[in-house]
Amino acid sequence: MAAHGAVGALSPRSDASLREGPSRRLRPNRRMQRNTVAAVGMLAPTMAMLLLLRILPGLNAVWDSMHKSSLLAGTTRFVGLGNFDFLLHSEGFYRTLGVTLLFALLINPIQILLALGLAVLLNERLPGQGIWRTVVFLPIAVPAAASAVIWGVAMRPDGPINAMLGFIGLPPQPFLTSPAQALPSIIVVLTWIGVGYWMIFLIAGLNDIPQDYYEAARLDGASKWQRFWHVTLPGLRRPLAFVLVADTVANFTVFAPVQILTNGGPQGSTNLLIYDTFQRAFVVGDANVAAAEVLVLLLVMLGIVILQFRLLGREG
Amino acid sequence: MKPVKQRPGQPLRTGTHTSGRQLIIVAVALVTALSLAACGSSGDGEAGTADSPVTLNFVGPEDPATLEPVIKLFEKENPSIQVEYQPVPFNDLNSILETRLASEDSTLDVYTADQPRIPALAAKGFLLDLTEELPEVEDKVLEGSLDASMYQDKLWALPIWSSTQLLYYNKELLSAGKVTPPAIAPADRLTWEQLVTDATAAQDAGAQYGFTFDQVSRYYQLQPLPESMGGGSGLGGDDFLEPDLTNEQWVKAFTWYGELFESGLSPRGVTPEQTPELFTTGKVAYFLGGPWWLGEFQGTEGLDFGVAPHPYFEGGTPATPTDAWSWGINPASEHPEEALAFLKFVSLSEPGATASVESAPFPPANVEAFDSYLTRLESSGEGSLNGISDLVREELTKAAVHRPRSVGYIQFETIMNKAFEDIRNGAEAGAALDQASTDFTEQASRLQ
Repeated sequence: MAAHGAVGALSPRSDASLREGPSRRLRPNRRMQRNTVAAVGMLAPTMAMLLLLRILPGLNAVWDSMHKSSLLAGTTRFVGLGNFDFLLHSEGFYRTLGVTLLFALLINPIQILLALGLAVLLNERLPGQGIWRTVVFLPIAVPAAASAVIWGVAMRPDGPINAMLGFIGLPPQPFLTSPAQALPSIIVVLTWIGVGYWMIFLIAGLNDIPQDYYEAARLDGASKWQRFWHVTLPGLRRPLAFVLVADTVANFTVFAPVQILTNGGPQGSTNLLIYDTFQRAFVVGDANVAAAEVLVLLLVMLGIVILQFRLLGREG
Repeated sequence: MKPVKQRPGQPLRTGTHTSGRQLIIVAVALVTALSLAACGSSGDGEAGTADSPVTLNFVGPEDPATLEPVIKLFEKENPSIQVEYQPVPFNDLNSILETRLASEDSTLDVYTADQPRIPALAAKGFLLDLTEELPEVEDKVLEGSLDASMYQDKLWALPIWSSTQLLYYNKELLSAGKVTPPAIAPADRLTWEQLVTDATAAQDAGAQYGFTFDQVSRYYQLQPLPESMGGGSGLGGDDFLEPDLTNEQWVKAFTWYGELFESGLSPRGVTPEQTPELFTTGKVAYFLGGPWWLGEFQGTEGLDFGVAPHPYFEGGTPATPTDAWSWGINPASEHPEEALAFLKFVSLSEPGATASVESAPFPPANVEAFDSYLTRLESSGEGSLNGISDLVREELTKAAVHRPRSVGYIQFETIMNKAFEDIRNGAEAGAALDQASTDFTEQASRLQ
């Protein structure tokens, strides 16, 4: 039935083109050709940039990950999956992978829940609403490196945060010098920097939800919590999906605060995969294992992002 | 704002009558023009003239003010060459150099090479072979600095500075703790054990901290601890690629190091960039740092300080850090002759070497300049630094311990700096050194 219908739908157009004759038939073709050339011309710079800045470096990383340079022999040879094998037998790599996954598991829900809570709160008609939003958004306008330096001084054992703790009778905390507290401290810094940024996307999403839905829910006797759960959250699915994916990717590539605050320590407790990759590539100069490690990071990120899309899609 | 939808079959609104082909031509022309512009700016390797001088790009971690006198003097004597100095933060220097050298960046001509890193830089092909200049260099620079610039019997960079460490003390804080200030004579060198006792007394009398290393948790600064006990540099084997970090002396030395911070005598969480400020603001009684801090300390109002020899462990031997910067030439440089002329001026000529330490008192590697440097150092204290020239000479000639010359030094130093920081933050020394040993063995296998 479907095939028959399709033929039937095509036939009137075929008849019309036959009636129009050759001169009228060529004109749309020429226009289409011209449009295609224009489209290609306009896309070309972007495609060239994508090729140069994304695809070629990506292929280069794959190539590098399958070779090994020997400093002593002065040679570079093909090793297949040898660099991945090296990583899989490296105790340090497993520590780094574990720290990265723990970090992702903690920071993403914390940031998204806080951003959502702040978005809902600051979307209410509060006095000084604009000022509050600006205050929450402001940290993202400060370069991450500058924020990290300031937090580094604040969290020093003899820094102002410990002075304040002392003032209220609490013992000083080691923060960045303790393996137990360094990762949570980095999460605090990154959340302070990023939460306002993600909040803005969610506020935009909240403003797109028609007020009629809330009116209808209110008339049906829905409580505040029920309106949030049955109207706000479903209405925010799209911006939430974006924030979830973009925030996850952003957190997998966090670098400056780690380098400035902890250098991956103490005892490797903040040695995230991207920082470890940088160390291997640009500090000890082992570009081959660094390329293999960055591909592993890419696979981990892809796996998690696909999972996130699946979960959100299933709910929809 | 909603996006404007494009209906199927509707012509694209371009706003002009520019055809697609014209757009492609414009795009190609732009890319070509940019490529040509890039080629034009990369230089052509021709010799410069006074009217059109060659520009040498020079990368290092020093403050531009430190190098300004020597660069000005060189440009005055060589009007056909200009030196453009690009300072980068010390912590980022190696990664920046690694990136630029690996990509054969021809806009980098001269760079500072930390002497123990020279074997790895040479093995990677990141340094121009300067062995032809060896006969001219041999008699003009300090022997130790020359050795540190060689690898596999070849000369890879010209030595510019040497280094040592002095024990600075705050006279007021020591006086408050009723501590007798240490003598400047090398024969009266303090032991580490005595230093801890005296620093504790000063802290008990009001100093915020008793003692701090300048370059805290860095191998350069801490290598002398196990060396003083006879524990070695931490690397062994023919090519210095086998870790020797868990011997009794190493564990003992770094257990002692960890206790400095555990007891609160030395501060945790303070970076090497922040430690000198602890001394200038009168928060720490003893500060172990290079002679390059003399100028800043002398210029700090209200700071009454003295200097003494680097301590050693009781029953052990004196051991002090050394090695510093040599300057090398990027093999991809388009101006190697001009770069060599600059290096020779700073390393081999007395006026050039002296100008290089005019703003910061690093010990110059040039023999003639080194003697005049010691004289100036002695007179700079207006009597308060009497004996410092003998001290610096003694430290450099008798107590200095060179860092191991290994192609794996970069990996080793990176791992050690992390291990020292972990010990500082409370990790058990034996476990941290054992982990460092495992990590280095793993990294060294990558060099084969």
